Amino acid sequence: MKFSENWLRSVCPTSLTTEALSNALTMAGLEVESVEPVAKNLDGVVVGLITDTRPHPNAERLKICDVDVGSPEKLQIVCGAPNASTGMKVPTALVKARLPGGLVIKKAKLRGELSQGMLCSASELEIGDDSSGLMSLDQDIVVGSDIRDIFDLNDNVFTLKLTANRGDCLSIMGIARELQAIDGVTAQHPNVDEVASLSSGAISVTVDNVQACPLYLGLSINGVNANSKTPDHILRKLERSGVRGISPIVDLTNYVMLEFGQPMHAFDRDKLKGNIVVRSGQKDETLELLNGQSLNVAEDMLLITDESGPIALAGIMGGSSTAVDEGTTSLFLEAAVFSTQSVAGKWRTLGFSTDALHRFERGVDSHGTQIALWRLANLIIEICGGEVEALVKTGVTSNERQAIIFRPERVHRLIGIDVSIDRMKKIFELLDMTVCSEAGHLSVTPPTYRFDLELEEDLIEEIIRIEGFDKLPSTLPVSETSMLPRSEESSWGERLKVDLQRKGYQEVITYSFVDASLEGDFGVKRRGISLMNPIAEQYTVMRTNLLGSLALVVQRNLSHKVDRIRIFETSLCFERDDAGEINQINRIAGMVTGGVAPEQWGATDRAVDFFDVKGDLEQILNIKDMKFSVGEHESFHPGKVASILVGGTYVGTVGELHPELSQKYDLGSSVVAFELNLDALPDSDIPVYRAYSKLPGVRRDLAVEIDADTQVGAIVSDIDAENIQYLKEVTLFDVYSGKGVAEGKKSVALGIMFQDEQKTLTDEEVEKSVSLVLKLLKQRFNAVQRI
Amino acid sequence: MQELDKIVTEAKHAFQAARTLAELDQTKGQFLGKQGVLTDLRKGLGKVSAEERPILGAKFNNLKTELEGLLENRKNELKAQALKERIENEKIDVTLPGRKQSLGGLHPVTRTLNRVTELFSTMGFSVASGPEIEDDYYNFTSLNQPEDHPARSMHDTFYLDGEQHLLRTHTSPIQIRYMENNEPPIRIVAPGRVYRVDSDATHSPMFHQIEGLWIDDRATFADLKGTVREFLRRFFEKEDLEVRFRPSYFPFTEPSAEIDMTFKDGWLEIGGCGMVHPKVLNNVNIDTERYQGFAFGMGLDRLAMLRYGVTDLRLFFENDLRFLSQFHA
Repeated sequence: MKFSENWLRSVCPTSLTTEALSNALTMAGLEVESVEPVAKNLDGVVVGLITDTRPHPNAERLKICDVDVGSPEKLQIVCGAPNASTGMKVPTALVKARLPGGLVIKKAKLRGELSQGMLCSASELEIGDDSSGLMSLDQDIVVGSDIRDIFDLNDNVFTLKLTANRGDCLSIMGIARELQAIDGVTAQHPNVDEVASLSSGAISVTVDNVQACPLYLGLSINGVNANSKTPDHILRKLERSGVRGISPIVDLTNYVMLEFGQPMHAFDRDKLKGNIVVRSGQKDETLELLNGQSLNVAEDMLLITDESGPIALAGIMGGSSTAVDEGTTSLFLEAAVFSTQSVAGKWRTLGFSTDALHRFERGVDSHGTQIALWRLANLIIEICGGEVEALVKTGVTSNERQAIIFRPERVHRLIGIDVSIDRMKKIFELLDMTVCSEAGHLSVTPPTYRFDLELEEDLIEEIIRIEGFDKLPSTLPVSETSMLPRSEESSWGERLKVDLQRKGYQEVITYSFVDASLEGDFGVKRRGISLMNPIAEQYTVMRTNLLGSLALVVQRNLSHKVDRIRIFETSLCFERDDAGEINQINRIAGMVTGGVAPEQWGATDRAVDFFDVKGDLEQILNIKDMKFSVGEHESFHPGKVASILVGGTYVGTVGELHPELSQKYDLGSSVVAFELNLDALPDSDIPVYRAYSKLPGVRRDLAVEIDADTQVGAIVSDIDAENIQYLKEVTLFDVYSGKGVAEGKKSVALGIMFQDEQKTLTDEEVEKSVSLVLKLLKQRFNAVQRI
Repeated sequence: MQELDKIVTEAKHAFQAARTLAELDQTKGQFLGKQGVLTDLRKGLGKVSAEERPILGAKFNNLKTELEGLLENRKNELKAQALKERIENEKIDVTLPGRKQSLGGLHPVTRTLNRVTELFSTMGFSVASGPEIEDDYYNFTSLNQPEDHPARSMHDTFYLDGEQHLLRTHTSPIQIRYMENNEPPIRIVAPGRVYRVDSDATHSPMFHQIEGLWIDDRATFADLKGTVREFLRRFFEKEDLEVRFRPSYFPFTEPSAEIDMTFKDGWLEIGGCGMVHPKVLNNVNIDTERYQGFAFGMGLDRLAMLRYGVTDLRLFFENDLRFLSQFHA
């Protein structure tokens, strides 16, 4: 809501300064978003009378003007405007004047002739668009007057950011009411003359849906001159409220809406066909709106219709078939109340909003409808002439409000501040409420325009709002204390974030919605959930996985010549299960490319590979029955992908991205990634102490030859699982094929630790256990010891 | 016996001439070895008379001790010298950069989130979370925003599935879910991702909020003021930070206020708050005559921006490593 400060002051003559006014409104809950001076840089421009013009001796297009600005000496000003002529009154910028464009006027010689100022166009002063010539001022304006006074430029435009509950403040009178309560001044209402007894006229109004339109008034005015001029002061107020001047009838309708908050509409009565019916839309109806849009009417739209069909979208916009134009001589003024429900959210389907819709959506008070209508009629007759002919009224004003039971002690209990009962009563009265003292409580009746006041808490808010939150102490709550339960092991999500960070991974945060094609490349097929109203084409689907998003981050950073990347993200992912239900799964994923270590001297320079990332996971997950088995995942290299299983349950995947995807997304040669379902990971165990032997252990290294395609992973776990006596630990320290190893075979080197808690082992005891290991390897893996 | 003195002199020279421990070992043999001079001398002892033998024997022993002493000294000298040489050879250029693995880091918003939840936990708040795809009831209706409520247009909502589901527009649904399952007293903070159809330098279609909720039988708006001020002062580590509460409107709180804090020369809006609306408490079957409480919400991204001097919200979601690496601990 934008308005002119001077307009508000003319209605409510507060002594607050502009800054104090702005602050007072803000602190009462009517947030002032901005205060902009109407004419920021405009000083030293006065009304001048051109008393003589003559051609410039040295320039064909320039004229020399003598200008009377009310001082004893006339000024000589060189001017290039084609319309400069003797007898004209024009805005004259004196020497040292400042113009909105930042120009400061200096005494100068133009082509050899003295120029003591500048004659201005409307656009140069930014009080109009016309830049074709000098701005011609009315002859009755006194020479020497300051332009700021003539055009009421000592004014500011206030922009309010009103909350959705304060529709009652969407008008000057509404804001004035608030100001009365804040500042104690009395607002002055304009005089409105109503013609008491009028016939209901030839046009009848029927309302089909009384809930959607509880009150409809129609006033007929005859004999208006639609070509009259809207008074300047009204045009200025409109402009400063952000409303463009159009034609006097429309301007006045808008003016009264801004003044009283009641949207109204003027139909050209001669274009109406028969009686008015307010009803819901029907299939296949169309309506040509005033903005030129041709609307296919929906059944949930409320329409104003006549015998020809829809003529206006109720509470939103009029139709062009009945619009007022230069030829209009008789009017049918509509002042009605349309319910919140009848217009709510319609801006979404329509793709536009209007001042009327905005107000009806927040509620318009039917008790103010009739006076607004007469105010409009008064103004129209005053400015455009004409005569009131008939008033038709359908429906009733809303009932008076129910009283709210208000227990004064609840203020202290809820807010923590003591306010005297007298002060509370005073605040209620300032806010136009009726207060009755009853046994143990007050009965408070809010005014009809305050739709937001319904409960005791709402009234408590009014008290503190007017009293001021700054009067409240800041205390810390006192409460029973308890110690928060907190498990020693934080959740997997928290732990892995920290552990991955330690492993050199950088956390990223990407949008949860992605491009459908990205989801197609990386996601869980046919499980995605689409957005109905995505903000952009690349954000149309909720992601089922994090890999695609990470790939884009890798791509982005590679393009910035960052060639070593280690990133991870954790967030919810979304997919539909077989029954169509939405699952929201906590996932964590990482992606790595580039060197195994940052570029530096004296370190091995090698690209990161599958085993680097697998090793990271083995260390940070450290879950007892975790296994890696040959995996299957369309986004990964078919030969370099493992499924991660815990106790046989799939919890994630690690592997090298499919080379096709790496190419498609410009990710370079080798990109290794993993993704885990955090919800599937088992709770982690608290460490439990086990005694360890203080006696020396014995290590034996074994090299065995096995078939090249045997999966080595099982060898270690199988030996572990066998419970061989004295065997403490198996380490795989080499895998080799090539010279010295038979074709189709590979050599695997194991370091095996033997130890006993009670005694130092003898050679025989160790050899016995070693032979058990070899036997197992022979049986399970057809392994032959290399000597 | 001049011969003995001669041996000592010779040995001295010979030991001194040895330049390494290995050379010294060889030289040692000449004198103290099995074939050495001393062995010869001892063999000679057998040939002298019985009277002379004790005298010569004593001299011989003295000689041996002296030689061994000389040898030991020289050995120590050479050892020290060898160590010195080794140390000199091992000299490195300590100005070369150290060998390292890269450091990882948490996203600045996560850093902020951790800090915020940590601060609130010291005051007894625990952390709650909830789904990001919500339905109309939890995101709006339960929070006193029935259909057609004009406040719904404040939130430009992303819809899914023929409007049956939506992306939560705030973290407040977590409040409802928590209150449905827990009895007062309740003290939680609920951080998370939220979504609105909005995008420019200060708005992102996805951003982060944190919501606080305190319900018991006595918490007042004054307590809310104190709690929020305390938090902001601790978070920004500024004891003179001032906080202003400005009347506002949220459907789920009554009274409601915007939270402004001092920033540079003016006030900066940092969040919203209020006393939990009785209709919201009714929706989760909490007796409003007995219990009351407050709720507040703030933008985590905004807190992070202010804390770290980030001027464009979009930087948080572009994930440029040149940006993210600036926040490593």
